[in-house]
Amino acid sequence: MILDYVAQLKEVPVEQVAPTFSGSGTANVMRKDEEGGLGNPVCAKQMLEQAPAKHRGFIKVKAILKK
Amino acid sequence: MMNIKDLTIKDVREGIEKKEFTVEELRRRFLKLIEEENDNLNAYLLVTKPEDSGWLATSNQQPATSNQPLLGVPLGIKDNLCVEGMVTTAGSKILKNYQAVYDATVITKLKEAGAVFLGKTNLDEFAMGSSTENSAWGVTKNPHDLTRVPGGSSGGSAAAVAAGLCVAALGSDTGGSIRQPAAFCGIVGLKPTYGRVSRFGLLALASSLDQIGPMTKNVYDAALLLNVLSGWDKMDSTTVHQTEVDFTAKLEDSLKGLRVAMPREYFGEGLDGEVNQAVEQAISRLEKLGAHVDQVNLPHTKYALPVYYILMSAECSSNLARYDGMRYGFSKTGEDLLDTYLQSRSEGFGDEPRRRIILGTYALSSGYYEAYYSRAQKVRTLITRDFEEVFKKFDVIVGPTTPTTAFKIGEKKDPLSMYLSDIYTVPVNLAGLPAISIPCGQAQGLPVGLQIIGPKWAEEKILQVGYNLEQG
Repeated sequence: MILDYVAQLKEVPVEQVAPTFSGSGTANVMRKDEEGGLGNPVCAKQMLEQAPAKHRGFIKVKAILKK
Repeated sequence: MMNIKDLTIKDVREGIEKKEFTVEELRRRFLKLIEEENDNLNAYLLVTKPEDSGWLATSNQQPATSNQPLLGVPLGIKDNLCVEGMVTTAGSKILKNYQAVYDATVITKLKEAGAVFLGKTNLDEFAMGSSTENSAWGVTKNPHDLTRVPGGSSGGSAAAVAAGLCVAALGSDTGGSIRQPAAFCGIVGLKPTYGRVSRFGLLALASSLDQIGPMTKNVYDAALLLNVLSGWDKMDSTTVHQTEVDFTAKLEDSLKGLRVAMPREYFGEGLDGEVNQAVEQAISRLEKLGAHVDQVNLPHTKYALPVYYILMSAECSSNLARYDGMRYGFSKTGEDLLDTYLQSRSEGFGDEPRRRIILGTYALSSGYYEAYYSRAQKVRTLITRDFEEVFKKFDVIVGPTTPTTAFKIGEKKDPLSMYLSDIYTVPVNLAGLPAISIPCGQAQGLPVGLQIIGPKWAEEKILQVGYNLEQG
């Protein structure tokens, strides 16, 4: 049903129209690659505390590769 | 002292300056009020504790004169915004008990401004919805009629402000989630220009559309809050450097000569007769205040909702991939890794996020990308151009915020009819424009909202128009 509804876009001629990629038109915004550049390093410890399973400071998950 | 339910930000400032109450007294009185009345409304999901003054950004011993613009102002915060140490669920089971580990930039700014956080307000799960019925923690009720929805997704914030359970609140708006509930609850809601307010610490729905904004009892308070919330942020690369302005400065300026556009597409099929009447009365008041009103066309309006549902679903399917049950939040261990992902996500997400993740993933998939996602991005450009054309000749666009007043809880059964309640608000997000909804009378005894849309960065203008109308 939703797919039928959005299919009405097919009737709009868009051959000459450029797509909108960004809400504010900013592009390629960079910052310096520096330690702590994004704030509080204490975060890591608090974040880890919320992991469902952990082991020696790592998040523990089921095996990714099968033997 | 006046009834605390009616207090505005300005009143709080004056009350503290005149020593009618202290920051701490006011906070405790609001917490007591919430304790008594929240059960009826379910506006708050989490309420801070009276004994825990840790949520006070400033000391109780406030100075006699303070230049903190929001000193002691008790606020409700939509539960998709991170407040360090506070549980932040976004209305989803998948984040049950998740404790935010840092402050959103807007929260840092509010703390610096001296605001007080009363608690976290209810929302549709991950802000996906227009009624707050999609919350995993139960529906919020409209204070004007408890059998009706408050709108959404910022329904908890809107209900809390309308019921006087806070002085003002923060919401977020992806397709109307501040303005639509503001209209349904009879309050003021402002969605800023995309890039005006940092989204850092907002749990993302659709990153190219989301904006955080104020929900308040009057236009002055919205301007005051926007002063605090605005500004470039190194943590959000889509924020834009703008000259700092005081949004309260020009509120009282006359509207003489203001050029107002009324889009024909916003007054057509689907618009309730009484809502139409209330909105047209407000527009004739604008004319009496000296504005020139003309009808215009926004020809691509009917494509806004389909564009929105493709782009928003595509972006959210990507944004919500992070909730995988591995690092935080709800997790259900399965037989192997894939099974753990599947079980955690299937049980953690409600119906609406699952629906949108599936639609978004489909729209982005190889073979369908051109037909759906890419085409929608191009039509988005056409919708933006419609607005640009109108703003070459006009200062603001006005119309109804919503086609109807608040609907009954449980009334909208299929998702599509729910989506249609955002028909006048969605185009504004697609074009990244600022818009405000202000109360303008009633229909069927329920509040009606007038939407005032401006060109990019014209918040000052739409606030001025809203203020003049409000003063009457």
